[in-house]
Parts: sequence; C-alpha cells; structure tokens
Amino acid sequence: MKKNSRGFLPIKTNWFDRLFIGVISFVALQLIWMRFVEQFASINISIGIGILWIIYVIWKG
Amino acid sequence: MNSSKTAWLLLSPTIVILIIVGLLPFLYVLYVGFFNWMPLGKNKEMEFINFGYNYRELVFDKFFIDSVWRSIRFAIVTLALELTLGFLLALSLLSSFPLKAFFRSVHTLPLVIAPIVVGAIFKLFLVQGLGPIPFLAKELFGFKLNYMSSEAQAFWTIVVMDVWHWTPFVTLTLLAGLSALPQDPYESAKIDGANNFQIFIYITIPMLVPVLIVVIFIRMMDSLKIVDEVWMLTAGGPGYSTRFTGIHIWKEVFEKRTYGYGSAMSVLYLYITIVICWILYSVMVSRGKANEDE
Repeated sequence: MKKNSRGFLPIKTNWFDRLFIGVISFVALQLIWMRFVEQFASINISIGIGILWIIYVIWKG
Repeated sequence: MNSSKTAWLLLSPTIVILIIVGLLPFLYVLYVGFFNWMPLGKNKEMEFINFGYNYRELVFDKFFIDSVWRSIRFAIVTLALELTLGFLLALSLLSSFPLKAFFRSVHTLPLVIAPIVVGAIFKLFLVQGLGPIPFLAKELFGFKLNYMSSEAQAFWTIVVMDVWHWTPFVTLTLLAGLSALPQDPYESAKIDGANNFQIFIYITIPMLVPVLIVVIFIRMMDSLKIVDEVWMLTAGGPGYSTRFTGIHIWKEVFEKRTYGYGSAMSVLYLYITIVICWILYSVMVSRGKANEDE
C-alpha cells in the first residue's frame, strides 16, 4: 500500500484518506441508487460496485 | 515507565469518556436508524423491515431534502456575511483609534451569551406591539416588519441574528491571525511598489489561509447545526421557511416520536455535513498549497 502517494485522485493521500474517500463515495452511490435506480435494479448491484470501488480507491487512488 | 506508556496512561481517561459519551451513542443512533421504532406510538418494539428502510424513505422525503437545502443556503449566506464583516472589523481593529479597547470588549459581548438567550433577546426586540424594532421600522421608514408573517423576513431575521452573534468570533480569530503575520513580506512588497489592494490579495490572504480554514470550518459546522436560536425565535415557522434540518429532526423525533426515522435523518445529515466540510477543507488546503508553490 502506498504512503502519501499521488494516484488518480487529484490530491496527495495516505491510505486512511483513500479509505475515507472510498466510504464517503460508497454511501453517496447507495443513496443515489436508492433514489433513482432501485426501481429498475437491485441495491445489491450497487453494494457490489461500491465495495469494488473502495478497494480500487485504496489501491490506486 | 517510558514516555509512550505515560502518554497513553494520561490520555486514557479522555479516551474512555469520549467512547462513552461520543462513540457509543453514535453507534446506537446508527443501529436505531435501521429500524422502524416509535416507543411511544404504534411500533413499541424495534421492527426491522428491510436493510436501509429508513434511508430509502429519506431519499424521497421532500420535507427533509428541502430542510437540508435550506440549512446549506443559510450556512453559505451567514458564512459569507460573517467572514466579510469579521475581516473588515479585524482590519480596523489592527489600527489605533480612540476607545479601541472599549469597542473591542463591547463587540465581543455577544459571544458570551447562550444561543437560546440570543433568540429570546431578538424575540423581545422584534415581537409585534412590544418590540422597538418593528415600531422604529414603521415610524422611520414606513416598513412593516413582522417576521412571523413573511417567509423572507423570517429567514433574514435569523441570518441577522446569527451574524450578530458570531461575527465577533470571526473577528477575534482573524485579528489573532493578522497580528501574528510576519512584517518582512509587507516591507518587501512596499519596496517593490505594490499598492494596498495588491498587498491584501497577494500577501495577507495567502498567509491567512490556515486561520481562514479554521474559521470557515468551525462556522460552517455551527451554522449547519443551528437549532436553539431558531427554536426560540420562530420555532421553524412561518410555514417551513426557517425549518432547518436540526429543527426538522427535533420535530420528527420529539413530536412524532419516530425514533428510527429520526436517527436515520441524524446520521444522513452528519454524513452531509462531513462531506461539505471535507470538500471545503480539501479545496482550501489545495488552494493554500498552490499559493505556496507560486
């Protein structure tokens, strides 16, 4: 895991920053999904996408 | 005992208290937010309907979403006014003028007044038939001031009250920051022929960024969670015009007794506050770094 690195995020981050950004965006995705998409697709899809997103942000962000 | 162990030993009472009064209640609210629970109403036992049931209801709740936008609008307006006025006052307090110490003391007084008392003071000043301000507004300007009959008047009355209460805090913090700035860059800029405006924009503001971050952060969070002054002055009325999210949650939890739904609202509003403050912080820190690089 990179320390105070610069990945695809526009700021320098440590692993905790990336975890924080991942969780914040995970929650935002769930809320947006509930509001606009859940009538057409299950929330489990967005949970899966969200978890993959968190891992990706921590790894490459 | 080595210094690390001593530090942990000294910190442990604080950590224990923070866990008991901060972390555990938060985790409990987070837990309750997943249930349908009205202990004094129809759902006496916690009922689990489905995962995120209350949040699913919340994203469609027009009243909650409106209250959040209202709070954000209020926070932006008060922050802009308080920063502008606070900065001007701090700059004027840097220079010397007669009765400066007296003015500084008097101008700091609102800070020591409890928010609920500030609400009561404004109510006494503004109440129809008794308060002096509607009377003077009518006599001097022919303006009918009745904050409980107009949505715009109610909103702006609360803005004025908040600005009156919290501008001294901004002034004092910025004054401390301005007083601590080094004088060398100012002298260099004057030798280079910079005028006062250029000095202010290119030297004072960039050097004040750390203080500005603290002030904006504290005031933004405070404005977003305003309850007591508004509760005393308008109780969220007239209509929904001053029903900020804090008041809205209070009414949901203590009037309708919807504890589960109220908990979900609190958690979601905390999330929104964190996101706003984090974005603000990231923007200001990156701006500050960009200025340093220049």
